[in-house]
Amino acid sequence: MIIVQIAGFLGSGKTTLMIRLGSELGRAGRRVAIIVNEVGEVGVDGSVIEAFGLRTIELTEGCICCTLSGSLQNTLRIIAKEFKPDYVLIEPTGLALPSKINTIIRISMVEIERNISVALVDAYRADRLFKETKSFFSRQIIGVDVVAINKVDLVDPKRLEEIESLILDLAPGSRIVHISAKGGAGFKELLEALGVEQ
Amino acid sequence: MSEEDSKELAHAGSFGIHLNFETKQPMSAQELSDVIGKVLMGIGKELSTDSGLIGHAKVFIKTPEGFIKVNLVDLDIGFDTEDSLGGKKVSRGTMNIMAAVVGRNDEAVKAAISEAVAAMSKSFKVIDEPQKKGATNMISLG
Repeated sequence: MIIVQIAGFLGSGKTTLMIRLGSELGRAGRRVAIIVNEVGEVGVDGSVIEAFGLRTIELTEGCICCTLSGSLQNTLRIIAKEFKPDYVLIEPTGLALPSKINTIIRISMVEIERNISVALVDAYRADRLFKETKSFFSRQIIGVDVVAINKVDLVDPKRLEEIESLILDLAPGSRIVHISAKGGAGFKELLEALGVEQ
Repeated sequence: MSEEDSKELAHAGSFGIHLNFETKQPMSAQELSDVIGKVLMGIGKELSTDSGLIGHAKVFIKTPEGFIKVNLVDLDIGFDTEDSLGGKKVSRGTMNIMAAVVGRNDEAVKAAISEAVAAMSKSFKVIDEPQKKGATNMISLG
């Protein structure tokens, strides 16, 4: 069982990427389970993903990196035992810290072949997010396997270079890819960077 | 502040409600999206004051004819929509509305959503007041 965590700040495009990734893996004949976590009392993302034909387990009213960490562990155990998926895709809340989720996965007592994490960065809003939430933002990208700058179609190449510099300042050595989760640009490169079979 | 709570760490607030709705007359995806998009823009503008940073404001509508989703991440870009109605018109369905904002607390987000829903309902005739998930609320649109 391979776990892929698609993290990133609120509005960074996690759900869109989950749908694209889940659909791609499904088409390739992989058994895929999706766990979606929302910070609010009422979930939206789980319904959106299910509307695209992907079965989803939704955890709401808290964050799986902290207040719902036990729920994540239990859910992983149940999925592993009853569904036996090839891939478990996890979409945490936009306020989650990927490194904490990685720790929770490690201690969840499920047999894992690989645990991969990607942090999405919204190219259009990167400046403002860096400025206003720098400390929190940096904690969302430090320690992930790949940082994917999303919505690249909304900014020019010069901006992209500047965003890359900002990311590398906060998390030196990060592996960075450019994608448009909506349009599909860079998706293949992201899969390669994540080491996901195509 | 508990360091373990990432929502507190981000100084973020959130709120969501679930509604049942019916329209007075069948509405296209475009018509419904326009109404909901304006509601989300209103929520976004309200919560962007006093240093609020919109994380995400979103609506998912499920109907017998298909779904409509409306998203707002940035006020300058505006809202975007997607639907599976294939040109069919909608008369009833369920609607989840949710927003998360950095720099504002749960109460502020709840107030903005409640106000926006009330305004929408004023235009479209409210049957019941909105409540949280688990309860069903009826409003009429269009």
